[in-house]
Amino acid sequence: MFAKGRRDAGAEVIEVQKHSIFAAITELFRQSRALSIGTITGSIIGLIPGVGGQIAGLVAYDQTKKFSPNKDKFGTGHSEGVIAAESANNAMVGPSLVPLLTLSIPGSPTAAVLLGGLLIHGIFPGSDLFDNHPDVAWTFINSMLIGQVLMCIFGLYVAGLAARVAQVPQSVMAAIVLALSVFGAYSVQNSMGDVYVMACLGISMFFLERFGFSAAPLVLGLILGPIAEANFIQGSMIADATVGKGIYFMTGGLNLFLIAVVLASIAYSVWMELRSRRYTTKEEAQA
Amino acid sequence: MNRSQHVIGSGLVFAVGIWVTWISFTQQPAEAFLFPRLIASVFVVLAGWTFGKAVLGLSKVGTGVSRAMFINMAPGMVVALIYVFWAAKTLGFYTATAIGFFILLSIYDPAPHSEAKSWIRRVIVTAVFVAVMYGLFALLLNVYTPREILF
Repeated sequence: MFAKGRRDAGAEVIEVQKHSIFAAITELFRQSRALSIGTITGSIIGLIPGVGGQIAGLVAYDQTKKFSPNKDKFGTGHSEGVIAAESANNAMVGPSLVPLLTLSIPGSPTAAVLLGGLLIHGIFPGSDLFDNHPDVAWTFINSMLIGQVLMCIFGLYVAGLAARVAQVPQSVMAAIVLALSVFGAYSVQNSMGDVYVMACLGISMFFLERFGFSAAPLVLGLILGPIAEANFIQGSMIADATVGKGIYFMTGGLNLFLIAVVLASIAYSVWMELRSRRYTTKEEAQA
Repeated sequence: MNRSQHVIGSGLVFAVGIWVTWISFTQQPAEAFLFPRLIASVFVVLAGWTFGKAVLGLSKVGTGVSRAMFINMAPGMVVALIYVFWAAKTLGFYTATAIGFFILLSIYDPAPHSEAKSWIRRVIVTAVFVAVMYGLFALLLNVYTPREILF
């Protein structure tokens, strides 16, 4: 908004588009590729402790963008991107309870509160929960199902009101976003250092994004970095004490599957890049 | 202009990559810095690749930052930087927010600056926003924020 300046900011009025629920559902199924990628990515990421919905949304968005023929429309409110990010964000909620209920590892602040509630009642997640308190475990599972239905009804009613946020004047919105960004960054650890990091990265990424770089890898690195490092150190120690790092990290079904997925994703990106460049060159030659 | 901005951006990212790699490979003990070394190595290779593509003109460039855009955003950015790096800590979060919010609103609100009515509206919007923030976060949720000089 700052970049648009005083006059242009006033000129831009965002109109909230109204669609019927049927049209929205039809659009959802029309974008089945984005929906599938979002749901699968969200479910897998939900299983990883400590990784939140933001990561699921970003990864799903990034993957959908890679596979989409409409890459240029991403970042403009295009339905594919919205469906991918939001379906991943929702899909990760259920699986995020798996590490909590089976291994007692709270993967999110919400899961930590649930763990606290279980422990207060003398219930220890893991085999104890499923063997001695199956009713509690099933309550969790059933409440997730009922929650989805209730959330759908609630969401349909609130969505219309929530969309009006877009009609707040941009001069007001920019100032609100700045104040809330500072407040949010500070309140995590009561540290001004976090606020300075937020400001530096925010300004850097604004310029880098304008210069053609994506913010997603930076966000992923900032959030996933500490988690990946802690788990890598843990894995290295186990590997050193057993079979060595090479065999430990590079063998086994799950490791090979993940390596294959990463390599396939990179190869696909390169292939798409080369293909789009070939088309561009051909179009330029024809022109 | 967009291409040269892209080259400068990718050059800066590459420079950060080289710096991070150098730092991680010169720190000891080596075992403790294995993960940073792995990540930094991948980072610097990819950053170098991106920089090379940018120099050769093979990469897609963004929309860039025009002179007019930079002039538009400069005052807001200066206010934001003063707010973040000095005022929030020195004056206290809510005081700094009230002042920063009002200044930003005054700079970017398209309503005419010559009308008293628009100034009254800005003061009311600022007061309502800060009151809601203070009531919600300070009084209701008891979230700690820097409260140095004022509140």
